[in-house]
Amino acid sequence: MGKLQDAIETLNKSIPVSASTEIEQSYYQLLSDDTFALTTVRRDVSGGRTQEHKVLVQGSESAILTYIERKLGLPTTPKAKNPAPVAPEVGASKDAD
Amino acid sequence: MPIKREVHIFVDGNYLYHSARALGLKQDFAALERGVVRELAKQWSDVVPVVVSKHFYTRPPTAGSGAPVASWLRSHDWVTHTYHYDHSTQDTICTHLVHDLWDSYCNASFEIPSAFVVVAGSGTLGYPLHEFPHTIELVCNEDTANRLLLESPNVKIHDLKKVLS
Repeated sequence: MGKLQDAIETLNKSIPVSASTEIEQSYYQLLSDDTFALTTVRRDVSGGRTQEHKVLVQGSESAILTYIERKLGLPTTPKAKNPAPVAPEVGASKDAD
Repeated sequence: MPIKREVHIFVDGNYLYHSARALGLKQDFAALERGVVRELAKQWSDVVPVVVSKHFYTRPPTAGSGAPVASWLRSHDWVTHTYHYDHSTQDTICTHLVHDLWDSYCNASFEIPSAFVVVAGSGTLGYPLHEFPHTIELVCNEDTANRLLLESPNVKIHDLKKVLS
């Protein structure tokens, strides 16, 4: 996770200071070797309460590293992939969003 | 020798799920990827589309729902972006999708031309895509496509039904 941890730290340093009075803080956090989270803490200006918005970004270590490198504007070396050869039955599930 | 073109795919999971159902089609991601490559190859002569990044944005209605699909996607080189249903809206997803699209565009290689494919409702993303400084390949239901985008010179619409079938 060393490379990913370093990338997440660089990503955190790249977050611009928000001029918005509603956004208190945004940060990236590595949760495992295939998951990181972007958390945005918003302040309800009238009530003073805060609310956390979190998005989980997941993928293979190389896929999320490439994603972060692209966000940071670093050169990436993605693997060229052909489309998956077999179509699985993933679509009909009502679990899908 | 054919020239390679790097392809970046961004999918609004909510749109794909509901649109595929409405069209009576399976939400089949392998077919989607093949269809995208096939449609792009058709419009470019002597250019080979190579998919280099695939992003899926979802806002499952209950914790854990959508997990089987997301898990399959990740094992096939997709990156999934999962939002908490109660703390996000469709706009949240679209805003992040557009940010990621911008990052990919701004940091794309100058040596290998890139193509940006968005699978989403043309209404939701109408203005950001209309204003985008590069051609966007938009996969959506052509019958209900946003007029602004139909007339937009930098948006090429591909019918979802054709791509998925």
